[in-house]
Amino acid sequence: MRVTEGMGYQNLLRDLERVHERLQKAQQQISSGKKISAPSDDPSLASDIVRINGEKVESAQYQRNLQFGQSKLGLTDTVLDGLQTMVERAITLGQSSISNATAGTSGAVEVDLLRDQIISVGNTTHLGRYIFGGSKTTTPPYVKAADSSVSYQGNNTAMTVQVGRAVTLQTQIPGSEIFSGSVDVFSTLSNLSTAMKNGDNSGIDAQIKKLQQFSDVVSVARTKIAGFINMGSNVASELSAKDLARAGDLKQEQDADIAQAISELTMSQTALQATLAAGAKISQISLLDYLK
Amino acid sequence: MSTLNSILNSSLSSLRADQLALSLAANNIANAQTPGYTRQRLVTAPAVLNEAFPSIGTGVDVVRVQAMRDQMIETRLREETSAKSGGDTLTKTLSDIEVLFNDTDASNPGLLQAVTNFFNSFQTLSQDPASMNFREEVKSNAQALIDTLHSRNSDLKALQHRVDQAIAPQVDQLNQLTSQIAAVSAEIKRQEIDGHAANDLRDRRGELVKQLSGIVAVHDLESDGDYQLTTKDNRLLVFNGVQRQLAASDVTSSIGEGSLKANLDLRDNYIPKYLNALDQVAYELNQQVNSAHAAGYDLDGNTGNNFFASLSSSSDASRLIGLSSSVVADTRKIAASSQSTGNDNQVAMQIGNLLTSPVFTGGSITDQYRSLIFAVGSDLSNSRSDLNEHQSMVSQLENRRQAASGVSVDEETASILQFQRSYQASARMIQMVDELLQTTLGMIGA
Repeated sequence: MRVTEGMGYQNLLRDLERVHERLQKAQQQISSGKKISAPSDDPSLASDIVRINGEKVESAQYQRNLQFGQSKLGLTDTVLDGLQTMVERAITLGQSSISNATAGTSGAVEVDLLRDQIISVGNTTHLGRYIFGGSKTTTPPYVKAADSSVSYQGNNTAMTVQVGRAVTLQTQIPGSEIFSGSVDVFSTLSNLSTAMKNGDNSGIDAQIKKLQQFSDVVSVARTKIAGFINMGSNVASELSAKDLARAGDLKQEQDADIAQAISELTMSQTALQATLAAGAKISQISLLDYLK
Repeated sequence: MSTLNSILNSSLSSLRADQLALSLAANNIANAQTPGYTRQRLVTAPAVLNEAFPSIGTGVDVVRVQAMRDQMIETRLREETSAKSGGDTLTKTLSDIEVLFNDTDASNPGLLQAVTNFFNSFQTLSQDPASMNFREEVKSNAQALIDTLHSRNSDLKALQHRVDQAIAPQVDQLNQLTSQIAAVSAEIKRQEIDGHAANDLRDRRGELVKQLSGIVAVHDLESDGDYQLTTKDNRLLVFNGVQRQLAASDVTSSIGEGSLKANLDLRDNYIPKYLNALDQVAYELNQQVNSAHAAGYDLDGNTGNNFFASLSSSSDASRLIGLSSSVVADTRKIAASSQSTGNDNQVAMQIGNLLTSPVFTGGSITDQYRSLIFAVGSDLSNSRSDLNEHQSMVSQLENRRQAASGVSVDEETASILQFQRSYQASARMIQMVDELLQTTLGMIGA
């Protein structure tokens, strides 16, 4: 083939362009630490990365929902624990007032106080919202009327939050399943107080039995709450395990192999030097040099 | 005497031919770096017209100046130039589009992030549907999503407009080139009428046609001295010295490859395809959220309200999407509950879950948007590899063209030496004939 000077320059330019392109690609990988920086670098990989990034944000939201649920459930467990202590105290007061009129009179006052305390337990708020009113979270679920009777203003809705694609976590139990469920603790305590004031032994006995039943109801509710908390922590560890796996996937798909990129950079640099050196030689030799 | 005279004439013809050859070599060297220049060579033949002794030649005849042109390579080079220039135009604009849809970098807020934030704000609202803060957050995230959709839509349309605006100047440029080609063709015809090849004009025309090929692929045909240039869809551009103007309205998708067609494709195929996909995302988002929202109850127990202003079709949905007037006026109107009383969070959860539910075309909304990213990415990577392929074809052909038609200074130097020596030899011959003549004249004198 005939080789002309023009060819040499054209080829040199093209080779330089190619080497610069490789150099730039390697540099970009090293400085960004990423294998691909735009979808066109590898469309299907880019699509995967976008999916994984999306899942990451999705999972972060589940974790926020979960933290919210866990804090609400934790509060519920604490107040139900206090409720149980109050009920125990009422039972003790009732028992000690059987056949003891003096203890009955003073005990009745404390029972009335306990009842008011339990009303405020029923109206517990978490971040400003009532947790025992079902979905009626902005109005107090237990309201004391002028005649001291207590009525439930909430509903039976169980509130949940999403903590996974198909996983919801119940975050509260409506008061109608605890305070005013099978045993109405408020009317029971009113009746107990009346019986204690009147020295009505059989009345006291009947109300104590009801309070013991109520204590069981609270235990059942606490077990439920414990179950939710337990599920919450299972979900939490699952979410963080998935996060770890996802981070690994992302690393594998997105992160540049730095060692490889650096060796590519070095190779391209050498190639660039060689190309430039060769290019500088191209025009140095000519037949004209040998003609006198 | 007549033989001596004929030697003199032979030597003289050689001197003339050598001078011509030397001036050709000089011209070749002068044009060694001229784009499109084809090296020229003197074609000579022995002259025979010796009446006394027909078997003895009478020197050298200059037959013609031959341009070392390989028409096949020129044609292939032109075709590849069209393809390369088309790929170049396509790749540049597609790279601009890719930037709009580069969601691979999580730190770079894109449409996908806006979509995710929007649905996540409904999940947050589900924690406390009565919270006015969370409601405001839903509204502002929805507004951010709408703004992102609007800006993607207007960015794509701006690119489409830019491409459209580029078409008319390209047609102008094409007409300018064809008018120059027509002028050069007329000149070639005029010069070649007496049989002299107008090599330099042909080089100029070749270069003009090559420039034209960057805009649109053309065919040229030369027979019996007539020159005709047409587009691939057989529109006549030049016939001899006559140019036929091309109007912008003549440019259809059937026109051959080149940057003009690439711009047409971008305007009529690529960008509308992405816009449609974006509209589809916006429309389905609008429909899915509204249908869940309308079934829910707001803070005041009202139902049947839309979250987004309703859209009648997906056409231009990414530009038309907006919040419904009730949500704009009052965030209490955001429906989060499935019951008229109380603040349950079922509807907020349901809308939040739309992020992952496979109710959109092609799966979830993320999947739907991902397929748009994939389309943009693979279109660009295809056009880039096409471009690379045509680029290396062009350089390979350019090498071949150089091999056939390029000027080698070494070669020209060698031929200068050769013709210099030949000139010297012929001059010596003349000197010798002169001596012989003197001898003859001396004989007369003696």
